[in-house]
Amino acid sequence: MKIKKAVFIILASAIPVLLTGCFAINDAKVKYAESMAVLVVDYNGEVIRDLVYGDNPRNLYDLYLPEEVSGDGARHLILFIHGGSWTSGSKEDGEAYCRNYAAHGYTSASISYTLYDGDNTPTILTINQEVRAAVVAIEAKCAELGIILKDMAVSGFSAGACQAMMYGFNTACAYEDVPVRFIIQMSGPTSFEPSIWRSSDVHWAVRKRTGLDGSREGDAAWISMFSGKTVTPDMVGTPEAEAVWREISPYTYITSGSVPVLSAYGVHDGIVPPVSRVILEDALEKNGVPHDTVLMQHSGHALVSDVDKLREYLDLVYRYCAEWFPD
Amino acid sequence: MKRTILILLLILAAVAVVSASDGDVKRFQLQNTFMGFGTGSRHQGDTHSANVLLGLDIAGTSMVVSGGLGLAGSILMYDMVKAFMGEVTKADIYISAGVLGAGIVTLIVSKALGLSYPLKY
Repeated sequence: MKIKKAVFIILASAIPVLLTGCFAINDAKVKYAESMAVLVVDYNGEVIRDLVYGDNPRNLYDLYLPEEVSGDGARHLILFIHGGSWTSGSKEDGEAYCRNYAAHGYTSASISYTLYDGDNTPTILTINQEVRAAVVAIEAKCAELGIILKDMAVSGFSAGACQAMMYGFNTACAYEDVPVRFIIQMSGPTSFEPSIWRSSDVHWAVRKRTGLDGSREGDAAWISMFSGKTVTPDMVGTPEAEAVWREISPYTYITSGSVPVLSAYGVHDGIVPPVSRVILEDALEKNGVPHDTVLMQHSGHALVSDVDKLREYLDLVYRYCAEWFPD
Repeated sequence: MKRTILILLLILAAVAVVSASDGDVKRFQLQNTFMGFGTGSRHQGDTHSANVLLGLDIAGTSMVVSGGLGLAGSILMYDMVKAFMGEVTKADIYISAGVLGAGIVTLIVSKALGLSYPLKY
């Protein structure tokens, strides 16, 4: 009897250990569902899935056609690039956004792209080429369907937002026939300068994963991985290494002729350094580029804890469409 | 500061009680305090008190261990969820802290009883 009581007491008092994080995770799930509900719209257009735009197995996209394909809006493309730290994610992640865009009359597409894994070592610049290839393929497919694309907006989340900015700002890579009119980006990294990723604002688990331990070896490996260029520890801190990380940092491509940018960042983001937003805004202001930033006070990286701000962000998306997509 | 003074006073009171006791009683009190689980009272022959102290020490220790682990885990989890999702409830942290606090109080009560039982028996 005493043993049974003792076992019961031990088990009962172990509940907090078993419950660790349960309420927090459940709360996060509820908030995520509430945020996704903001994107849900009545959309009855055609979705064409798994279209191919390149040779890599992940070079696929889904095309979301507006209900009225002959409408003016259909000639404007809004492209979505998914996030996932360049190691995960897929075109399906953009479905809610693309359905929303298409329901508002715009042709929309979500792409998958090559990810880092054992076999593939893509770089920011090679993925940028994939984005361009996707735009070329989307234009051709739309023409086949009777939609002559006039221009586009490029959007994305996290890693996808970084790629969206790279495509939108790096005009040397862009496909001239479907010019980018503006960029819509959520939680996007804007700089690959190693020191900003070592900031204590970045969650320790992320810092551990990046391998940025403050050593020259860590910095060199970081720059090499994203650029695809060999940066040795001896080069770290030299103009040579700086030139390499600048080449893969979207903000360095901003000029006075850059397209407008609509951004959203979460105040509690512990995945992308918060200074990313400041770096971007400084560069945009310095060059006189129109921009807006929706700062979500309760959100982290995923931007799902400020439903009202998400609505405001969506309203801004369509205001940008009205303002920057010419008739 | 107040908490430190309170802890010091409790320790002094315990030392005073033990010092004022006879040789054998002092031994049983020290066993109840440091070995715990009613060891001193059981050696003294006070089975009932020994069982009470055993129960309190098991409960207190379990709560301190699980509350402490739960608190550490909850803080880590909260931190991670907040970085990605944003602000979420701190209920896990409060529950774990509550269990940890209850465990500490239970152990303090157990130690106080462990000093008084050998005197009464």
